[in-house]
Amino acid sequence: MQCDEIQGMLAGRLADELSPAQEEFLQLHLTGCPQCQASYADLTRTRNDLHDLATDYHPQLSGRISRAIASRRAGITARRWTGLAVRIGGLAAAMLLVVYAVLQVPGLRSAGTPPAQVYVIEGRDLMQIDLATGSTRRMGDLHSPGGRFLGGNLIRSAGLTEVSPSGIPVDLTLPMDDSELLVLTENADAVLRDGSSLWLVYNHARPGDEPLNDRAFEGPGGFVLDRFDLQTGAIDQDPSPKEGVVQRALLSPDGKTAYLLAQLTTSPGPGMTERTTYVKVVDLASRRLITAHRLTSGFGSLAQLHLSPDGARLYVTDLGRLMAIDLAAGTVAFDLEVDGVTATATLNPAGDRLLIATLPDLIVLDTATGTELYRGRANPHYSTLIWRGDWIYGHRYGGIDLIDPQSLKVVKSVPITVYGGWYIP
Amino acid sequence: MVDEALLIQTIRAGNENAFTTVVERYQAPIARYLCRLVGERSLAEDLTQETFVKAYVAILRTNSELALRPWLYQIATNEAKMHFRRRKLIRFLPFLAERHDSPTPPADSSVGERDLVRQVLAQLPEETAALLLLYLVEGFKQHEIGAILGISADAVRKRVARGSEQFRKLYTQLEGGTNHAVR
Repeated sequence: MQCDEIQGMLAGRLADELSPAQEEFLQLHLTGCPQCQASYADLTRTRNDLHDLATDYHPQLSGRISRAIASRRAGITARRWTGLAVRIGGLAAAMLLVVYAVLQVPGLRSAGTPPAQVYVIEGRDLMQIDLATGSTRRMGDLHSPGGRFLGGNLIRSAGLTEVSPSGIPVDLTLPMDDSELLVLTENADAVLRDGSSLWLVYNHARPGDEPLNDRAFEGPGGFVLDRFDLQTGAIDQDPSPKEGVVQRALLSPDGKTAYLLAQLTTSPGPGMTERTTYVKVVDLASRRLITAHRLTSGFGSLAQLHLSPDGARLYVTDLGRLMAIDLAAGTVAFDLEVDGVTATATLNPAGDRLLIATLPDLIVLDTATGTELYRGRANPHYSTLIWRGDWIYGHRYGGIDLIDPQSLKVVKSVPITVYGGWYIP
Repeated sequence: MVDEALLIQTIRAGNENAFTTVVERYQAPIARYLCRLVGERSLAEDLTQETFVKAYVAILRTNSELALRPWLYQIATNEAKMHFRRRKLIRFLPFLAERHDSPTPPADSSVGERDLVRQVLAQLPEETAALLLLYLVEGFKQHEIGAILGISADAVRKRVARGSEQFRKLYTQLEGGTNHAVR
């Protein structure tokens, strides 16, 4: 086992998350590895330093919070009464509009096809979830002896996809073809998949490398795009690191271009740091930067990228923001504020609707204009949403939900305790 | 201790005082967490207040099952991130300038160390700082932090190790009196 895998176990040891077998394995490794011993000592020091921070707060804070809530409650009540009168007056017109919308708007037509089977990595198990019935089936143990699992023809293991027997959770699943899933355990910061390759993005150079530079301008950043050949297992390393720290990555529909959300850190003066977020466009054949779209200050490391099915437009979402970039022209089609705290988003298969999960609403927007079409209020803060076929699949704390795109109501929920990635055919 | 599902049900049913129990139960840990994360007591109190106001409104507007503790930390973390955005991510570190002028260490060395730890946290990316605090101080499990920050449990595992390494490097740099800009 490599030391970079041990690093994750060290943190698990501090949090008492290791099994007795893992603990024994770790202890054995530490006995013979001064580097990991030092890492563990560092981690313990970090924990102690953070614990020792003074954290006073005013004793009357709870009174202040209660007053603020009472004030908000009064506002809600007042708006309810005002809204009631308006709603009664507009009810008939609204009903007519709804009927019209059901007939006219594709996103509002009733869901026709049954939901897909969802494959989820839960701890060390591969689970198959039938969202039509809510039933869950354990497909197999991903950490079987020898590091390979072929049960049900769902996993093909090759090269970097070897599953570690250490008990460390696997990272994510990607489709190999109609009958197989590829399970990755590689420590890449982002992974893209085209027909025959995986593109692996590494920040701070590759695992085991020293940070690329100590430049005050860049900090310990810089990323590379390595190509992993799925047929031969060969890795073609990127010879030319590029500036920035990549947070998200997307592949164009033709597999030729990568869109990377990257942050640059600069130091405009002593004691100051400033971060700028870009969408970097990279030609994968040459691995050269084609262009970079600088995002406005409302977009940061939490932003997410969403590409239209035809690859012509890129949508960027972040806390309370939505930007659409027309990629051919390099122009911003719109840059809007979105009501609520944006958590994640997904495009419908046609690309004409964008669903944004905020706290607390689900909002469906028209992608042509960015205008809101409708919204729902049954949202426990999704971390990932996928709009596939006639259904929306949402991952949230503690489970996966099946959501009806028409009503935005959750029609089925399946609990999941440990989430390590999912795949929806 | 009152069952949380029942508590949420009571709040949704219109019992205005039930949310007070939530505030009393979680205000201290949330305020301490935010104080560590943003480094300023008064700001942490403002963000704590906003966290509970948003939680109150959200509880009324949803019918979903909620795990209160991670959910409140998720809102608190988002509030802190929004605050950093509003400040346009420019951080001033006057302590360092003063330190150049006055190299004498403080009388209470633990105070000096705490200031140093605050500076290190302030220079880390906010998500890294939040992740280290959630894991090493607040005791959340990796999958819970994954849900709070919207990343996988495995990403949490990797980022804890990397974040701790960043933390120690910065700590050593600042302790040596140099101030390198970092990510």
